[in-house]
Amino acid sequence: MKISQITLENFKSYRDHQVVKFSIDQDKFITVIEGQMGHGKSNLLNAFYWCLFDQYWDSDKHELQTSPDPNTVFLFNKGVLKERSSEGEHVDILVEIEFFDDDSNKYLVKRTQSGTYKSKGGWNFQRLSQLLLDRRSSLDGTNKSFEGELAVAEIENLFPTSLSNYFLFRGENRTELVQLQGKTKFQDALDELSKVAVFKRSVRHLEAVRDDLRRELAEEADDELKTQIQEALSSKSDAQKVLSDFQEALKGLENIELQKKEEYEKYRDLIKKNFEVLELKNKIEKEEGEIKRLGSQLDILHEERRKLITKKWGGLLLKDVTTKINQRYQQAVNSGIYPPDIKITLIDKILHDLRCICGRDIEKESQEFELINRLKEVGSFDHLMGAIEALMGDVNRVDNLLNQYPQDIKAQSEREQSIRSEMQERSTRIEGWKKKIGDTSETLKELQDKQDAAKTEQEKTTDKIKQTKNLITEKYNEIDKLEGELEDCQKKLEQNKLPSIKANLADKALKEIRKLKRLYEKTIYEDLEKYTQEHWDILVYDKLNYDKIKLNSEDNYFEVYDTDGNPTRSIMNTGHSILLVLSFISALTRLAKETWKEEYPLVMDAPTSEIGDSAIQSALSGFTKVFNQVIVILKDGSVPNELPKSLQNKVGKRYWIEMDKNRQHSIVEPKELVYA
Amino acid sequence: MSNKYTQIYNELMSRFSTDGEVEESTRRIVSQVVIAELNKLSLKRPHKIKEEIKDIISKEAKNLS
Repeated sequence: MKISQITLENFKSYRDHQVVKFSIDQDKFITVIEGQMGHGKSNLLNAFYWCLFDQYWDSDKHELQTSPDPNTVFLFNKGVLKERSSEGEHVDILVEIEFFDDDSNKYLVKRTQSGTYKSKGGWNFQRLSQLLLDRRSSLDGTNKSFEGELAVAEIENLFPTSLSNYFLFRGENRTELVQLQGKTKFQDALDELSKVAVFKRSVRHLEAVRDDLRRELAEEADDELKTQIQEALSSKSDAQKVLSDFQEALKGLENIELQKKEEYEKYRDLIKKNFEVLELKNKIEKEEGEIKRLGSQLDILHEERRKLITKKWGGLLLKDVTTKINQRYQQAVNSGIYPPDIKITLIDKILHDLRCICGRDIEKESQEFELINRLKEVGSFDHLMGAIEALMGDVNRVDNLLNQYPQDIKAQSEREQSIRSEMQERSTRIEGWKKKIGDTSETLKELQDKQDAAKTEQEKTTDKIKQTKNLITEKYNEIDKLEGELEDCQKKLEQNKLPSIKANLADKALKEIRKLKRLYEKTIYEDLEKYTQEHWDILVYDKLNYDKIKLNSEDNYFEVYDTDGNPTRSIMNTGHSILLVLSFISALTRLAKETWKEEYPLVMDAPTSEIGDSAIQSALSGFTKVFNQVIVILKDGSVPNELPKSLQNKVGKRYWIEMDKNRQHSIVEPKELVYA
Repeated sequence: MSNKYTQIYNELMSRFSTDGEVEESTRRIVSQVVIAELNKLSLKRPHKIKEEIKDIISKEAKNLS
């Protein structure tokens, strides 16, 4: 399967009708989509889940919901709902995915859901979405459409739901990823991809058919034998029902065991984090103190700047007043007329201007203000001129100040800028630490108690699993015994009659299919172990002490051994745990490709969140060997600019997601295919 | 669909070292049953599969009787 494009409209942050085309070129099969946090990257992955599987990943509740209800889950674009909130208005969500199967048949899967606005009740959304699938044959170009259940079955055939988390990969959700390693989920995916299920079904159906044929055969027997066969068949049927209940219970218990193991590991990590938190909190306190100190420095600099400005204006005006009074004096001398109001009006006007420009504080703070103001108190004009001459000395000082002003201001701006950058740098550091700390409302003791409780529960469940397995073995023995009894009865009947021939043939076929199933399972487990090891070797850039991967075929569970041969799964760190999941995923997919000629695309959102950006190169290199198409959604800056040439050549399309916040719309724009 | 699965099934069989003593009739039943199941893969509950298996066995039984 190759996904050629997705069309979005009114789905979450994708408001306007938009088509995003993916690279399906055989050589350039990687599409890279980048964007900043909160711009709609994960919404794009959710569009795949919703359209193909009617699933929705609720990141707040950390759960994958089936048939999400838009009345409780935010599916519709908020911007469009707000804009169209008036009686009778109608909004449709549309997500459409176009893809090709391995025989080049083209499919268009379209999921829609509607909402109508009622002025009394607000938005009223359809509870269920509508699905439509169109298939265009590559052989004769004919079209066939499927709706509802038929469309679901057809998609299930191409993209099985049990694999949704395998080829749609959410790197940000550690718990979900680790659960993919869980026995049940892993077994489901393995059954689906390897088609072991086909052999299991064959055995089950053939067993049922054989018992039906035995019932027919019983009709041929005498009363005593007939009763014996019927009773044995009835007991066997009862035992099989009980066995099935035990097997179901075992699945449940194994899930609980996994949950408790996960819980135990979560608290183990939290306890470890608790110690780191103390250290980080001290660091934060120190950094906050530094920021406070820098803030005070900045306040002092602001004050100095204000004073510098006041001085500049004071100086300029002093120069202005003395020049103007001097001019008027010269005019008066030349004309022989001495105006009596020369000082009061002019000086008052200048002082008023000075207050307007520099604020009221100028009266207290500026030496020049006082000097100008004092001119008003000078009695005779001759005295005034004397005072003016004295002021000319100050004017020289002002000239020096004005000449120095640009340099002073520049130096001060630079100091301010450097302090601001330092404060910003320290705040970013603090933010990072705070993010790392997260929610640490629990004390160390509380965490330890919870960790102990999880361990106890896990151990109790392990015991129950053991008991249930014993019960299952007992039931199998009981069924085997009844089988032996039935076979003996069969032998007592005439072998040449048709009912006997049929029952004997069913017997032989069943034995052969069981043998075939065992052989097939053995082969796929061997391949799976081999491929997982190969992919682990490619994907893991630093293997630390982790060495060999072994699959325990008894319980379908992987173990990783260190170089000394000790099992390490239970103490493995998160990053390596995620890489192990990725190794499983690619191994499973390779199995489907090599055995059943079925290829799957891989759509990954933030694949390296838990393993670090430095892993993306090796991860992508590994994936390109297995998947026929890779669509990778990454946060801004995590596409390695130094992407190796071998990978650069495989990138066929590159996009940038930008959010128009006013319209609440994520825009996916093509980006140049250039890597530095 | 059936052509693809028949081909893959035959490829698979060539990978296993199957018992040469298995009767041809049993071999035919097994192959037909597995391919019938493969063709019903997309269905959660394979429609009328038991009837199909009964028919497969009946045909082989008639040949033998």
